[in-house]
Amino acid sequence: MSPRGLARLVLRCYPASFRQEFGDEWCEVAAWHRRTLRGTTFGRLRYAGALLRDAARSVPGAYASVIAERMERRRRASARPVTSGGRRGRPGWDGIGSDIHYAVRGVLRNPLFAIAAVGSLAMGIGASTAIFSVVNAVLLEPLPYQDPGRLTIVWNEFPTAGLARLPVSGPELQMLRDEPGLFADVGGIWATSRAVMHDGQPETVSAGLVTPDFFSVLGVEPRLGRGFVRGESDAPVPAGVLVSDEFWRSHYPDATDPSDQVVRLEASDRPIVGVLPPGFELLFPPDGGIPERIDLFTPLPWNLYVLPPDQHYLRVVGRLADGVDLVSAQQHVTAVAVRVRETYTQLAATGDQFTVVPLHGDAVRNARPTLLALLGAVTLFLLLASANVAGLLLARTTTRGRELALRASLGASRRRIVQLLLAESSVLTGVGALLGLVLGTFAGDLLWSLRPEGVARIDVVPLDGRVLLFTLAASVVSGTLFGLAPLVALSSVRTATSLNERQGIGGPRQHRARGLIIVMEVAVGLTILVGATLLMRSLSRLEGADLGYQPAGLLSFKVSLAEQRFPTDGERATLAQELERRIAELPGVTSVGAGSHLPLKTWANWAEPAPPDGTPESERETFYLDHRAVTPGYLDVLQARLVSGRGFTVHDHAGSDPVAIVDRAYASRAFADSQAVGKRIQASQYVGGSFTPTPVTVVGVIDDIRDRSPSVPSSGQVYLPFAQSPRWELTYAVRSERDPSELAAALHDLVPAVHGDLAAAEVMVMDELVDAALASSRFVVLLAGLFSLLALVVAGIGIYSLVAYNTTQRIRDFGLRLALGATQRNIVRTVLGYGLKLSLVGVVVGIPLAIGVTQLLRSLLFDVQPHDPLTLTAVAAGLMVVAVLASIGPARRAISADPARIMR
Amino acid sequence: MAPTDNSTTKPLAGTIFYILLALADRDEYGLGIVEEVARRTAGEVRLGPGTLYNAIKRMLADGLMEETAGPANPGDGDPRRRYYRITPEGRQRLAGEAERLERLVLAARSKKVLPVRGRS
Repeated sequence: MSPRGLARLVLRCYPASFRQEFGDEWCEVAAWHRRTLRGTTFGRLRYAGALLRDAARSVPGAYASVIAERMERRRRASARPVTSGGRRGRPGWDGIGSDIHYAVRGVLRNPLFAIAAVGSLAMGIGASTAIFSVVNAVLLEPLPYQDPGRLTIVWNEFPTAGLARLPVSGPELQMLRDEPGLFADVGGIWATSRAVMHDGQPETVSAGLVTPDFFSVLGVEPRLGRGFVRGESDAPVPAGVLVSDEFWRSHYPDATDPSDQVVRLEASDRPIVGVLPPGFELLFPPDGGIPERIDLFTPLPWNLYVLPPDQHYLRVVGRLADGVDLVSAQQHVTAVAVRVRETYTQLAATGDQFTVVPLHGDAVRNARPTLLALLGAVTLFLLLASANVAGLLLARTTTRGRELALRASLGASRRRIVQLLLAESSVLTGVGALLGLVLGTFAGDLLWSLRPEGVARIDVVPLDGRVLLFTLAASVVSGTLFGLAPLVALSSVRTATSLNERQGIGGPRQHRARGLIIVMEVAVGLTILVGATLLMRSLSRLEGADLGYQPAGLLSFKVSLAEQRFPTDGERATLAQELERRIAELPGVTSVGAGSHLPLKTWANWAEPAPPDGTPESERETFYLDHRAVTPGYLDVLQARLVSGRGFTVHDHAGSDPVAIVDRAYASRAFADSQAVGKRIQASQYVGGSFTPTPVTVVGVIDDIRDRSPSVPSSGQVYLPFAQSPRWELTYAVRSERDPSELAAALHDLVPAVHGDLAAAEVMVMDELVDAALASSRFVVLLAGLFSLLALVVAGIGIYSLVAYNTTQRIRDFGLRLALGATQRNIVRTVLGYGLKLSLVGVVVGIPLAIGVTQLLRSLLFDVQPHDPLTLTAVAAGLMVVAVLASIGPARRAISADPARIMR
Repeated sequence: MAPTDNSTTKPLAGTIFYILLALADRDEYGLGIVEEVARRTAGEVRLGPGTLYNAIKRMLADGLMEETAGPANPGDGDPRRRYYRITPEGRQRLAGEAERLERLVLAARSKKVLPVRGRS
């Protein structure tokens, strides 16, 4: 290259304004150098060296002054003082105040960027705070009992019959109590309902039959009066009752001393010995058969040893003795089970076992997987939001490359620049976290108010130190994650080159980082979406599941045929029949029936064996199931499907042959040939005040009814005619053409008219029960749907911002290609291709991730597999559509590139 | 000339000092400055064109020098050439820097780094 050529080339490195102003003179001086060096040794080389050295020293400065001039002009134009822009930083962190000030201004100057970044963060942190506050309240807040960590619940298991979580029998409770070194205190409860007469008005109330020490196990002291004492029910006078604070206030508003008061319970006056503290609740597992709020408690009226050992009805709560942990407690109860099987040989075949679990852990057992899944989903969402902000910051830092290069050339140390970038990340994190905390608190309260029964039973969402700590940790982690992104860009700020580029730095490293962020956003978004979609499909399967009956349009209510009031079997049977007849006569009623308990209600309040005839004694107890006593109208009103044989009629009464109807699950298990009609089984009839095993003939088989939950198939069910097994609880179901509220009013009038001591209680639409059973699934789906929507939006914003940025970077390239004859279609293809290609990689990475993560959802899914191909395909396709949509804007920008303007 | 308050005056960069010195006794254009500096330093300091014009730009902005009409005789060189004249501010800074250097030289002498000349 000639010396002049070299000079021209070097001159081109300077900014245009510099060349314009000094170009000629610069050439003159360069020529002088050439002239004076000519003739010396290596003259040309020395000349070239001098020029290049000079350029290396002066080009950055030349750009710096151009930029400084521009900034000065802009500053004057906006008449706002620039506090730290362009100022030479002092070493150390003492410029932090001005950095933050500058960062705030910088962020505010870019409102779209600020909204996208702070919005993403606030959503991420808000959502995780909200979910965590619920997790905290449900899973981490201790139960409101004394030393709740030592409270346990004991369940029975019959491994050979495949039965678990059964209540405990009276003799078993005694043996557990007698085991030395296990429980400091152990008690049992059985929930039922009782008829109360107050001020001449009959009323059905919830009642808890407890061992005298039940409340001392929980460490709950009555607010007024005293608790039960040992031997309470052995006294010659009627045993006293403990009432809830609510019952006390509503029934005895003017009374101050409970010992002056009595409650008329089943035809006898019972003294009130004490009033429980306000708000007292029994926080048992939702499937434990114990309602949260019970109106009154009485001591169990029988000796625990008296009832048969295979009548399982007690929920047993034990306070572990000092120094006993769960492992040794389990060893103790296993040893007790061995003695139970030795003592009561009829239980041996069941493999009767006990499991002892923490009361709190068991109470939240059903909510735990749901909440943890949600917590997982929000963690992913937070990651997504962080990736989004990282992408936005990366793009921003990259376009700020020249500014950073200028700072570097003006003497800012690397540390100083890092400090500046971190100041910006911190400002974003701080604002995002604060906003997130506010959002999260509101959202947490909202979630709490929407929560279904059974998800949790604790009434406060405390915004306590734990939640704040969680928010802080979430903010720090996400802030660190995205705060690092600009440093990637920074690592290649090369002063000279950056100053030379039109758009800023955009090296392969940033390119890769951008690509990586898109891939990650798609992969994480896919995982959230797949999880949510699986839950949605699962719910729709669940809602469409065949329950075996038609709950729609049914109204139900309960009556209590208390034995003290209606002591004979005949009285209760006649009363049930009379009620059914009178209800059927109400205008608009199309069918009516009643059972001891309806589907989805009080499942397995107790259970007893019902083996087919000829079952060896050793296998008897494996046919351990729920018995229902039902009126002739029961199967009709539920619209259950008769498979073979007949339903019950009024002719199945106490004097006729004992009969039964079984469901398919039982029939196929008991009789392999499924010809059950005409076969004999042994069932437990309630006759003469106790459950009596009686041989009965199967007269009909019905399709399985999902009695326990819409998602749990029947494990076998026996129906007996109410007239042959007249229990004291009866729940009616009424199907009518009338408005349910009108019908309810009519029933409230009718029931006491049939008998003055009866009242309709718990009147509700049957759909409510199904809704309540599905509520927790619906709630989870609602949340998951919400998250996936947010995730889709955030991922869309993320892809858009990065593709748009990439397009801006390449706009010259596109302009050039358009100028050289490329069609708009080519350009569009390039831009869409960029977004699509990376999204595709994201999908490929995301599918195994999603399959892995959704395995954790397995316990929440009904009739859908985690690797459901349809779901995966649909979600992947959906995300690709989002990627295309997000790339359309940038593609339009690319084809609108004006070659003439850009190339100038 | 008023003595300069050294505590508030930062040392001048070498390039700027040389340029101000070249302009101390007459107006010069770019190449003239380069030649003058080279001559005064016996060819040791050869200002590169980029360095020179960057410095000139900054000095103009800082008010250390100003553009001027040029020498009285326009025949003397290219009419497009721009001439620069030192401003009072520039002169003050130049003097301040010279004094600073002088004190440094005196200090060096008092420490016998340089031979003491003159009144012995």
